[in-house]
Amino acid sequence: MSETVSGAEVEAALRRAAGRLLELRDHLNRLDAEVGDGDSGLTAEKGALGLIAYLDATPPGDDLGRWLAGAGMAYNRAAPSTMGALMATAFMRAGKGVMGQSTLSAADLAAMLLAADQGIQERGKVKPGDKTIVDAVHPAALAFDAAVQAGRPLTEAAQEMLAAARAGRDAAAPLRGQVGRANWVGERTEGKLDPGTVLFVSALEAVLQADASG
Amino acid sequence: MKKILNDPNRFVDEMLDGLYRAHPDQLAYAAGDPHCLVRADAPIEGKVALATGGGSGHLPVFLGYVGQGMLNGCAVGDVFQSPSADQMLEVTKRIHGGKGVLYIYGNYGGDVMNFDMATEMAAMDDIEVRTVLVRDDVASASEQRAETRRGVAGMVFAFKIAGAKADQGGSLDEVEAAALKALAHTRTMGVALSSCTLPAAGRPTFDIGEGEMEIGMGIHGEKGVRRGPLESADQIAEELLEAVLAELDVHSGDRLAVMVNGLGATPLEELYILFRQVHRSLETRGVGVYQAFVGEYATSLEMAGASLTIMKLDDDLQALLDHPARTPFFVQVGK
Repeated sequence: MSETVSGAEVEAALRRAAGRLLELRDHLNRLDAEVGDGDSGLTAEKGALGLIAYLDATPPGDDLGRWLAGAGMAYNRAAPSTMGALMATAFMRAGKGVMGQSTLSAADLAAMLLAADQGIQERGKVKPGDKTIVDAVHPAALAFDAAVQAGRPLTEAAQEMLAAARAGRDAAAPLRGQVGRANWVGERTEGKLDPGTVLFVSALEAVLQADASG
Repeated sequence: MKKILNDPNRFVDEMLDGLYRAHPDQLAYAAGDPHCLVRADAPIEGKVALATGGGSGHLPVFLGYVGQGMLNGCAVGDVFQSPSADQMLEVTKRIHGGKGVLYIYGNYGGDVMNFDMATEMAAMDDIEVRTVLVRDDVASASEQRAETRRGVAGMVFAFKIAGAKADQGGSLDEVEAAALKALAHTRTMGVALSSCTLPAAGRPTFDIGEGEMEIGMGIHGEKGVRRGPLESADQIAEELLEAVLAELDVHSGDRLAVMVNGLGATPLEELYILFRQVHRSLETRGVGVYQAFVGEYATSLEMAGASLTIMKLDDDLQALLDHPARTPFFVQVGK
C-alpha cells in the first residue's frame, strides 16, 4: 500500500470486504440466533450483493466522496434493515469529508473512519459498551487515527487498527446486549460474540488481506 | 381474512397503480418509481417544498395530503414499513423549488433513520432539508417523555398549516415554525374496537374480545393505555376529550379545530355520534368549534375505532387553516 490510496485500490478493498460478507452468511446467522433475530448473515449477504452490483455499475471516477456515499445507499437499498442504515451512514459520513477527491491520504482515511464511527453512533443511537458493531469500530478508528497522527507508515497504522478492532470485539463478548432485540434476551447475550463486531473485524481483515481470526 | 385483493404481496403496488389512474391530473411519481409520489406540477419554483413519508395502510395518511396548499411529495413504504432513504431522496430532488424542503412525518424509528439519511444525501446535492417530527399521540408516552410519542392523525393539521404557509410564499424558517406551532397546539387520543389485518399476514395483528375496547392504541396496533369493557359513545368521547384537553390549556372563549377520525372500519354515523358529545362537552366549557373534521383522515387498514384530535387556534393558525387546499383526499375552500 502506498501512502495515498487510489480509487481503484478502494474499489478492490470493498470487493474483498463484500466477498467476505458473502462467505460469512451462515456464521453470522448462527451468532445472531444466539443474541438477536438470527438474520444478520442474510442482511449482510443482501447488502454485500447490493454493494457488488454498485461497484460493477459505477467506477470510482474522480469524486471518491460521492462514489462512496452512493455505495452506502446501494447497500441500504439492498438491505433496508437497521444494519443497512448503519452501513449506509458509515459510507456517507466517510465520503462526505472527501468530496471531490480522486485519491485519499492516510490523514483522509483516519478522518473517514472517525466520521463513520461517529455516524454509526448517531444513527443507531448507540455508544461504546452497548455491545454493537461500535465496540469494534470505535477502538479501531481511535487506534488508526493515533498511529497516523504519530506519523507511522500506513501499513503499520492499519495493523494497529486491526488489532484494536479484534480487541474491541473480544472485550464486548462478556457484556450484556443493550439495544434492539438483544435487550429483550438480556443475559442470554453475555459471553457471546456480537455479530456486528464480527462482521466489522472480518471485513477489515479482508480489506487488509490479513488472516482471519475467529 | 376477507379482503378485496389479487395478490397480498402486490397490495401496495396495485393500490398505487389505481391511485395514479384515478388522479392523473394531480399526482405523478419521480425516478420511475411509483413509491416516489409527487404533485403532478412539481417542482413549484420559488416556494418551500414539503414532503412526508411512511408505511402504507393508513390512507389518506400519508400520500393523501399531496396537493395544492398542502404537501409536494410523499415516499410510500410497504404496509406499515418505512420507505427507503433513496425513495425519500428522489421525492426530495423532484419537489425542490430552490427554497429548501421541510419533512413532516410521524415519530417512528425506521422512518427517522431513513429520512435522516435522505437529508444527508440531499445536502450533498445542495438541497437544504429540515425535519419536524409529529408526536401528537398523548397515549403513547407521558408528558415528561413527550419527545418519544408517536405521530398519528394530528399530522394532518401540521400538513395543512405548514402547507398554507409555504403556499403563501413563506421561507423555510417560517414554514418550519408554522409546523412546530401547529403541533405545539395539537393533541390526539384514540380508541380501538377491533384489530387490523395485514394483507400479507392474513390474520389479525392482535386479539380483542367482542365486548372490549382499548383506549390509546396506536395506528399499527401498538399497545394502548387501558383495555376494558366497551363503553357508550358519550363515555368514550368524554375520556378522549379529557385526555386531549389535559395538555392544551383550553379556556372559555377559545376556538378549536376538532377532528373525529375513523380508523378504517367504523361507520361515519358513529363518528358523528362521537363528535356530537365532544361538541356538547366543549359548549358547556364555553369553547367554540371553529371547524369540524369528521371522517377518515388517518386509518389503520380495517381497524374499528376512532381518534380525537384537537388543535387550539389563534388568529395565525386560523388564517392558515382557512387557506385553500386541494388534494385527491382533502379539500379546503377558503373562508
